[in-house]
Amino acid sequence: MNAFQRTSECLEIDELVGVLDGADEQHKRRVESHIAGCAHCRTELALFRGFESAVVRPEEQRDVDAIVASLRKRSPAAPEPWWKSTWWKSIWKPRLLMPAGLATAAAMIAIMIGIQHRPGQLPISGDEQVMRSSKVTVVSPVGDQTESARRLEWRAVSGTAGYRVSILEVDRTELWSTMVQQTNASVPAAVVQKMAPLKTLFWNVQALDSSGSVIAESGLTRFRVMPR
Amino acid sequence: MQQLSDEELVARYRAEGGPWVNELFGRYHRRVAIWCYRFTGDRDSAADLAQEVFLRAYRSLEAFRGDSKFSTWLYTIARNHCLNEMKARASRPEQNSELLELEIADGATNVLRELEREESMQSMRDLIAETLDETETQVMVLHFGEEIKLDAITRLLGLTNASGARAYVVSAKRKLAAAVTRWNAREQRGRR
Repeated sequence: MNAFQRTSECLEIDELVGVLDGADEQHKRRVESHIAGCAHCRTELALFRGFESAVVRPEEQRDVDAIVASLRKRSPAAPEPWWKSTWWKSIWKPRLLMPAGLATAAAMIAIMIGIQHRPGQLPISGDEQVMRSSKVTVVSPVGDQTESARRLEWRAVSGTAGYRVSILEVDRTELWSTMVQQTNASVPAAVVQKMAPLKTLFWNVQALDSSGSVIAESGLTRFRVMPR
Repeated sequence: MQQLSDEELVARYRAEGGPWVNELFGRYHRRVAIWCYRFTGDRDSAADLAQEVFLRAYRSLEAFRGDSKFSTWLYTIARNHCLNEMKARASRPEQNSELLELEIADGATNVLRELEREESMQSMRDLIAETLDETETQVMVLHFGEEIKLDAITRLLGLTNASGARAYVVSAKRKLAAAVTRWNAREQRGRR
């Protein structure tokens, strides 16, 4: 412990910020009296003011603009593909890759042998299926539709904190995705407009736990809108 | 959508999901980007850090009760995440030498140890308040209180002098060393 560290008497940032937001006089006096003698709280308040003011210095401008552009692309409501995510990149370090690679190769051989002995089971059918330990059951749309799919619906999975839903082109390019807590998602009008008659699309829903890990997945479900 | 307050956007997102959260977070992209960039000083790692901040916020959005403003709530997430991440990086063997270097560079007088050893921490805080100017105080709090690296402090506080936060640490330690000596002398006179 040194004299520059936070103490039990230090105020939470909410209380400090209350002074800036026009708190009542009594609260204001208490906070001002504390921060006058507390270097830690004064510094906290200065940092918060810096965050709030959002003034970009000229030498920061280019890099900050690039970071903002990257954030727009990687919105949490439309997370980047798993193969681009940070945690995944870290797996590709050689020291992690070598044992993992050997284990994966062994597992792949075992799976391939298993698949060879299951004639007639295709990975893609009318409704594309993905083998999962736990599966999300889709409700609609499935197969040919008489109207544009304005709403995606599926059955609830227990222990789920949220669902990530996506619509994909036949080449698996993501057309749209969103995160929701409920068991349905409204498709934006701009995406509905792209559902041309007889154009095949897929949709997929992943059930995520509170840490963001996938605990169940529907697999790709095919649908298309029939001409009237 | 742009006319809604942050808190109204949170409520809409909870009720309807979808684009409300993008609008909400979009309002803070620049603030979080600046904040993370000043912590790391590097575009790519700041972009990753900022993305992690928004992911944490997104996953915790259900826990936001509206007791504080959304901006304060998000700031707390950004602040804590960046501090924790910087501490984790600093604890790695290749990056842990800065505090030690400063102790050695300061010579025989280890002011901080002196400050820690004193019985009355409040007296020491009074001494800091009397002795240091505001920038020196902030630099010392961030470096020795929060363990933030000096180059990050230079960026966070927008210090424009040639050696940045390091110069403020050196001047603060000199001032404090002199003040502690005077304080000890007063204490000894008082005991006689």
